[in-house]
Amino acid sequence: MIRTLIATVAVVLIGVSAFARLTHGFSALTTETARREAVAAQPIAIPKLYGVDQAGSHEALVDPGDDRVAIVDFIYTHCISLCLALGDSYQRLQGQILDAHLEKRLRLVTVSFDPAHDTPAVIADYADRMRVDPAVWTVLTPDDPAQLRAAMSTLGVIAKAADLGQFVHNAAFNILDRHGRLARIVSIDQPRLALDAALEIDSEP
Amino acid sequence: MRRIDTHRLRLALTLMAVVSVLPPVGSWLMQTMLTQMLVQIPLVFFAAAGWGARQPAWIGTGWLRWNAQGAPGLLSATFCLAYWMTPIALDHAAADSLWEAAKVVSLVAVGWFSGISWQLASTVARIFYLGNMVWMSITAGMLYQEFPQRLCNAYLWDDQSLTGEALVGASIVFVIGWMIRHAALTARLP
Repeated sequence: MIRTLIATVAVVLIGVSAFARLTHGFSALTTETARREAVAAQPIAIPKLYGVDQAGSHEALVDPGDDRVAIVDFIYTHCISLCLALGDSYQRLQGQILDAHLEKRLRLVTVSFDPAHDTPAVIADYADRMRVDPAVWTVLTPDDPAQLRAAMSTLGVIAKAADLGQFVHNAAFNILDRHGRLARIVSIDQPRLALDAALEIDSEP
Repeated sequence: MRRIDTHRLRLALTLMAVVSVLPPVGSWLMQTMLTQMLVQIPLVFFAAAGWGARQPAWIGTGWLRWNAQGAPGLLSATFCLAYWMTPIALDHAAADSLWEAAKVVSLVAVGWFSGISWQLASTVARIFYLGNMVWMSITAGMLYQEFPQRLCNAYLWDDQSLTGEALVGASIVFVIGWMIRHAALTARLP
């Protein structure tokens, strides 16, 4: 009996430690949570991503000449669900940044992950509809699908084609620090937290 | 006659399990959460358990004292199955072939071991472990059905919700099936 007890305790110890390792110490049940924690602990570099912005000029997601902290999201313009909510949040964030005169410290970037549909003309129209102020907010449509895939993979953005030309995708506020590294990921239902986190990252030395 | 039938069933299950982890069918089954969780994982586990249930002669009896009532063996099955039902583990297995290999190897080992252990367990112990597994699967199934966000990066939300429903359904069918079989076997005893 005592041997069975020892074996049982051993199984429990192995099982519990396997779970602890898997879930990063019982704190992350999903890949997404684990990633957020890892990014917050150690910012990661973003591969180069070039595209055309709403004004038709060639821009980079990470512009070495622009040392503002950026809040970045990925959308497609004909989305009928998640991106609409995200667009609303961005409009509100834009208002808050302008009201508090933070446009020299923070910027917003929206990247389309469907450049085949979201041509420069389409995103110009989208920016118009969203009343995008170019001093704060850049809407970008990437010109190289391979670059886009690499950036999405690093940022953990997943978009799978679904019915009726729609995509099933995840969304988050991805905050890039002044060096263009991904430093924080904030849930889309917490825009206030995203703004605070961006300011906090900006005030880091 | 019965022995032959059991042996054929075991072989068929093993063949299906092998096919379910190898590239063409394996990668197809891994494309949805439903087929990974409710086809591939149970197939591999039960095929291995089938071989364990034969109680191969070479394993002897000395170690049985370490596995009274099959307790450690059945407990390891509970842990292993729960582990591979976790969203982060499903994601790892879907994205990384090393993780997938680890999953198959652990399921085979634990499945085989619990096949042996199941034969050692009393009816009460069996009910305990079965009840525990069913309760765990139903809880996970309900969570998967009701969670408003995607839990796995590799799988879509619709798939997740469907997997949840199927987990609950399969658990109930499984436990009712076991009860009927158990009642039939008990009734046959003198």
